[in-house]
Amino acid sequence: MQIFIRLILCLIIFSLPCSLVQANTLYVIAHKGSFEHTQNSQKFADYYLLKIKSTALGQRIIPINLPVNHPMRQKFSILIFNRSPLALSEYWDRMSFRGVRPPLIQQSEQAVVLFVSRVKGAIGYVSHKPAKDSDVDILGEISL
Amino acid sequence: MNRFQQFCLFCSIFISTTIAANDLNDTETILFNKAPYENYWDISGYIKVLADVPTDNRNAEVELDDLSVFVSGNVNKWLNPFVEAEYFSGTLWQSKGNRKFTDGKFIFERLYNDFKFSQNSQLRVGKFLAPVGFWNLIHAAPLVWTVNRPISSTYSYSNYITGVEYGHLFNAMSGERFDVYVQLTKEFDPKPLSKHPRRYDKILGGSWTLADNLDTRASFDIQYAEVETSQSKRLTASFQKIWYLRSWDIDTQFIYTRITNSNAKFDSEDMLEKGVKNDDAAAIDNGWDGGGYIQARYRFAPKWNVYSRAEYFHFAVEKASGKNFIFGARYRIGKWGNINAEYKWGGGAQGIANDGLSVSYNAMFRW
Repeated sequence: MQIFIRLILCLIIFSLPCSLVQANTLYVIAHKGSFEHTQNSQKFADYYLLKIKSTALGQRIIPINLPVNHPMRQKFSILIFNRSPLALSEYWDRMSFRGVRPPLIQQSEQAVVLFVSRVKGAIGYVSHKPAKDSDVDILGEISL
Repeated sequence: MNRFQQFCLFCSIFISTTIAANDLNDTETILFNKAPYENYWDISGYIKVLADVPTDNRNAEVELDDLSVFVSGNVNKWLNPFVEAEYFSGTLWQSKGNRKFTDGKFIFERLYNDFKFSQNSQLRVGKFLAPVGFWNLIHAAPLVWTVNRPISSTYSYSNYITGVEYGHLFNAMSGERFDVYVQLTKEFDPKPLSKHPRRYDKILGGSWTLADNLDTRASFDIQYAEVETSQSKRLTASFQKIWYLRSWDIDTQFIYTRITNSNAKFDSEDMLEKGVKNDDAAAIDNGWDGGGYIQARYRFAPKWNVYSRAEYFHFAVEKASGKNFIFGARYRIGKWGNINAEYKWGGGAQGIANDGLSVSYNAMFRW
């Protein structure tokens, strides 16, 4: 019985760090060579609100979002827009009425990295620093 | 409601709700290797079903107030078409009277192409919404707070332009931009005069948007328009400001229209249809239209908000000015749209004092 209890305790103790681990940095990534490096969150907001539609090189900007319930999407939305995704939905309804489509969605951070690495002008955000050999630039790092 | 009306209502609601815009407005996930993410076409729209329960002598009725479908294309610098087709005022039920669902009308509300010379400047050609205040530009039921539109936002000027508009964006971050537009002919596919008080044949206007971002919107707009039948000339100036705060939004607009060279009692063709007599001329102040409103909305829960509006308006073709007040609530049913319920009461001029309860169901949808 004691062995069983110790085993359970060990499992709990070893599983705790996993559940408590949280990303503390958000990386804004972009297709290699498409954008200039910046730490300006207002710039990211303008990209994501489609206020700025093309890069300095004339490349069309394609912002990528994570699904609305993804924790990083929630954090990104609060950090960059000071609003929840729900509050932003009214903005996108208004833009849709004027013929502007909201950003595309990728279901996972891996999919975001893959999309951004393959599509010129794409920009996204992830919680893990992408590998050096991936075809993405890190535009900015934002502490959470 | 007969079987045809029931069928149409069912189809409208089915279409709008089964393809309702995602609750949080995400487009669907698109695989990168077959995505039309650069050049694309979108089909979307909205529906509004309205129940009016007046406390005066008007009929109680339920109608399909709006069913709009818009198709937009984003192809290249020169080809960015936008088409909005709308079916409106299809009566589903009336307490008395014999209006039918098929008495509703179908029009092209917007039909234009944008030529995007650069990121900051574009030319629009076709039929489009006049940039006079924000309300006129985003008047779809799911996008505005209230069921009833303020008179200040619709009565005095031409809501639609059939012509050319040039727009220049000065500052993407603040949203500061300037637009100038002209119409030299009659409006293409106009709404009936029961929906708009008059038609115009020559229009020249400009809009200076001082800010348009997540925190605020402000614009100063001016429009010169010649009325088709009376040949009176209307010079309108409008200022609107909206504050988007954390839990509160506040919106106000003031508008003034100077009317010159007019046989003003005929300025409103609607009045002409009602048979206004020449003897009434003395009672008509033909100098100006104008007024303003202030409204506020409070979000007290993620899906709930309450709102209120006070409005004053002076009509050139009415003996009395009017004022009204509304109070209402909106519940957002996630991706299934919104339900609004509001009560309106007022006094003074006809048309502004239609007291009663209005309930609407409205939803955006997107393919």
